[in-house]
Amino acid sequence: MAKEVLALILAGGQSTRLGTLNKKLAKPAFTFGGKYRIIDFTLSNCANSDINTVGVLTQFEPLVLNSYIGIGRPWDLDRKDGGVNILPPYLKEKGGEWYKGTANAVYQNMDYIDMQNPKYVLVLSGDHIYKMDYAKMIDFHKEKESEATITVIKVPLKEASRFGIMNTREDNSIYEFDEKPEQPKNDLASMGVYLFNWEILKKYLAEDDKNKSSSHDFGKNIIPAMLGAGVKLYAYPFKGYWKDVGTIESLWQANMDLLKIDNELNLFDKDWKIYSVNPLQPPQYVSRESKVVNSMISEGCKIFGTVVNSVLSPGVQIGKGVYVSDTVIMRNAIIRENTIIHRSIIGSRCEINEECSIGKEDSSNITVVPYDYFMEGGTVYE
Amino acid sequence: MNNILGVINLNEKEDKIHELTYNRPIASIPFAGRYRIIDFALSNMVNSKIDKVFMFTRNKYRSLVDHIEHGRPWDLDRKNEGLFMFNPLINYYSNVRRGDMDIIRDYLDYIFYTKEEYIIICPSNMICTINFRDVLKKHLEKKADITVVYKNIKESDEMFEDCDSIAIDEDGMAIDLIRKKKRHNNVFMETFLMKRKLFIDLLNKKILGADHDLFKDTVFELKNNKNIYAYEYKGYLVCINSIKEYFGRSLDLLSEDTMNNLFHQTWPIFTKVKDEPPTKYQKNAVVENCLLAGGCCIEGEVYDSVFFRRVNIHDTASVKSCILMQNTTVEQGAVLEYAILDKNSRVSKNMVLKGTMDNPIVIEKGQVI
Repeated sequence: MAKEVLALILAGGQSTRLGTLNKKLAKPAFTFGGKYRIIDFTLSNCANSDINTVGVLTQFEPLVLNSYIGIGRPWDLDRKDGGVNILPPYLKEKGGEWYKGTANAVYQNMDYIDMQNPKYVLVLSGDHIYKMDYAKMIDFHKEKESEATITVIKVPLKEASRFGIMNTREDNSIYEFDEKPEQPKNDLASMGVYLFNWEILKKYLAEDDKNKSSSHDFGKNIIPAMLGAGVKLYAYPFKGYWKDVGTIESLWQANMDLLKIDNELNLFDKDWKIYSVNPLQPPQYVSRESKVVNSMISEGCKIFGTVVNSVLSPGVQIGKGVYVSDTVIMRNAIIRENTIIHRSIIGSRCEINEECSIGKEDSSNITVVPYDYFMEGGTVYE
Repeated sequence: MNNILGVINLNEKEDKIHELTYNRPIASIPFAGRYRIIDFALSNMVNSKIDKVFMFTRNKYRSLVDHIEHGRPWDLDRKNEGLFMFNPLINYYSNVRRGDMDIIRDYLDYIFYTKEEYIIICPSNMICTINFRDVLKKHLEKKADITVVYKNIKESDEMFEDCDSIAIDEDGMAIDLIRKKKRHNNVFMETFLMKRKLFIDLLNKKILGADHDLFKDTVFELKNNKNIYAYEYKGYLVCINSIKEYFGRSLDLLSEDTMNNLFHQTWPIFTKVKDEPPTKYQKNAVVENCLLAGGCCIEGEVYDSVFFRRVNIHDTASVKSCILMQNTTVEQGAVLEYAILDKNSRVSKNMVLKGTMDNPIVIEKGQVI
């Protein structure tokens, strides 16, 4: 049956800059906001935008991600027709190869896309944190009779050179695309959310594949090629919270952003819920001698110490006399008596013994304790 | 392996807990911050590797149907086995409380056509973590016809008022059922194990009897000609049959020992989970000795309380020794002590509500005070 929209989530990129935390995890599977994994945001956006056919393109360390997504039930994506499909690279008649770039990853799944037979293909990143109604973007695309629409967000001009910048006319049509310009002419950065008419995208992907010097990337190759050939491209302006959490600092910062009163992401919004695989844990317990201030605490946590400006994932235990501030602690980590932690990310299942000191209060760096780390009592770790 | 059919018999008296059962059976009263009472019985079934469960409801089963969701949270949404809900057929004696025998008998053909050799029957309001495989093992060892389950409590124990108890002889056989008031220290957990065939015989035998017959009476009428073994359960047990018990036992959960008794890694309690963000503690929050589910937002002061999901405590509000169910709000300056707020209720600014441990104030579902 023909579909109007097929969403493809690019989830195969290596998490190089998060490797100090966990080397064996695809970036979209990293824990964020206590109980979520990063990909929950994109999947929930799809569910909330009534997009019920989603392909997730995986390649790098996909095991946790694959089992997490499963048949897509938590995001209401276990559908009779459509639903979620995990798409790793596979062996074809003429051999097989890894995904060589974002565009190549989609190109290699041409048969899957044709099988779903969509009118539009929505290309998304699995490692961005934001809430967005894709349905509105699709309406915009139709209204403008666009052939390719790129979502843009205003960024501070001084940071614009880190992004792909769209130069647009008054009607939002794009006349120029600058990938990481030294002298940005504009502050409209691409969010890596693309909507294409499938017939057109298919043609450009095939052409790009023949070009041996191409890096097979949407931003670097496909969009400029389309612009050059006069394809109708529009910029769809997005307002709201958006963060690419590709580094330890940005992952930490995005968690801290959640603690701000009236933070834009507002996880408490009943009309745009973020769905996830909910942990099987009893309620959290906060003891009489403990103190919890400006923090987010998940199910199954047991708090006997002090927690300030921190985000705790399910099943974290904080012992007596522990002091934790400005820190993100991931699933089932145990922090024993009298340990002090500042400005850190503590990986899942870590066991931090008594009287350790982790991180520095006045440092500009974020201290990382990798997943499954066992720390002897009394260790000073910075 | 799967030779046991599980039966959950929701034949539970609500007269002392009616404030919480206007719209729901006891089985779907919220308990322990993120569960419903039925979750414990269902989890016992699946943790005991019983994957076919029949649930016999009474009236007001809508909230239960809503919670059960075809049994998915317990992994009981199966092609062949799984969870079957049997709601009572039309009650032709509208004012008469029908006995559980009669209700189950309406669906006797379902019990007849299953293949499991044994049947285990339990209620929902005896909250425990019992392994039915162990009960079966003892049942076989003792060559019993019927096994009933009890827990031995201290003579001085204030709990389990209104529960029946059983008299046991020196060989560990149950010799009689002792009805409530005549208190005894072997609390009967209203749980039975027997061959399915015997169960069917018992139901058939009474087919001409009165329609208010209780299954437990029928079982103990056999005390002289069947071997009824009394299995002693030693773990966590509470019986939710009154507001007082509900309130007291809920607050008991605020001890680490009690929590560890009820929740252990090897015996997960499954429940239907809503997607809620983690609970947010604001800058001036004071939280001491509390159990909280997800999605709460705490700005005020809370002590010795149990909160379900999405509870909002505004700044300068104070809550002490209370049970706040999902989606309840306590506004600025309000003071609450010894109270139960049912779902979706709200306590307005500067209201003061103070109950006592034995007599907590109960705010009904959806009320604004």
